[in-house]
Amino acid sequence: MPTLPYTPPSYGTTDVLYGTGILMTAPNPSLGVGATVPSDASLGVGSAWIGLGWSYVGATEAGVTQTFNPTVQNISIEEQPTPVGVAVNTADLTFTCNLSEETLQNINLAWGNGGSIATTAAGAGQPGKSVLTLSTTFATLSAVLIAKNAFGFATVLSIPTVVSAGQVQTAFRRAAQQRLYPLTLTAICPFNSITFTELTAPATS
Amino acid sequence: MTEQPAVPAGKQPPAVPPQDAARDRIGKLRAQLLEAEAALPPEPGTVRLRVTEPHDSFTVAGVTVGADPTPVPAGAVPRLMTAAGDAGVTLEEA
Repeated sequence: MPTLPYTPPSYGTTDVLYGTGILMTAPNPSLGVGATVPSDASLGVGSAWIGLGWSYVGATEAGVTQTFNPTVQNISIEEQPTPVGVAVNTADLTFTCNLSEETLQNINLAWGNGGSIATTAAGAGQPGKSVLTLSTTFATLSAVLIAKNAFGFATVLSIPTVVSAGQVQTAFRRAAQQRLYPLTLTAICPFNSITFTELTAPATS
Repeated sequence: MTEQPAVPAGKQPPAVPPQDAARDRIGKLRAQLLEAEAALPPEPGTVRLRVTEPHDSFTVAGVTVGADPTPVPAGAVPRLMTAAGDAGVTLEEA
């Protein structure tokens, strides 16, 4: 009598990942040119990024979220109920998070990254101060999201050019919660310049 | 008046405390370094700017100019100058 087997494939429990991601930004060296990233061996080393001029956004309220949101246009014909093709109309890729560290750098970043910060050292009769002057001429930047992968090394999602252009609403509460600065970084570079790099093994020598 | 005990010649305390001497030396070396840096021509594609008093640094779009001559990408200069004007900060070529 023939058997009728049911043997589903096994799943990979070690590929089920969780944990925070590290969002870093850096100024574009020139319009449309991505900031330099560390060598492969140093992709997971925070100080290597900082040393190249990248800035860590710091603590967030609920981590960083990456969102890929394509909209598509179905190509239909009368003779067939299902579409004969699906064309990509728009493809938005964003990083969002609620910045929890209230620094002038973070406020500027959330508010479009267009402002300037002038610092004055304390002197006789002059208190030390930093002044953020806002601007609606938003400056583009590079952004990366770094996380630990299934191999225990870094995975880096790199977007060479993003713009910070989200709504920012900050509640100043007595005790209910910290002051938050919502950040939305939207990719504005060609889609094929965005990369995911997964480190899989150390160098052999 | 009590007489101070005589100190052997080799054991005389130094006139300047060692910490002060080290600070002086660091200050002189820093000044020499700044002078040497100022004498170097700027890297191609960069311009050296500095911020004038009372400010001691100025940052726009991730590019920071300090009170000492700071190389910045030439492409960033127009934006720095415009923002400095808006913020009441003076930048000068160094």
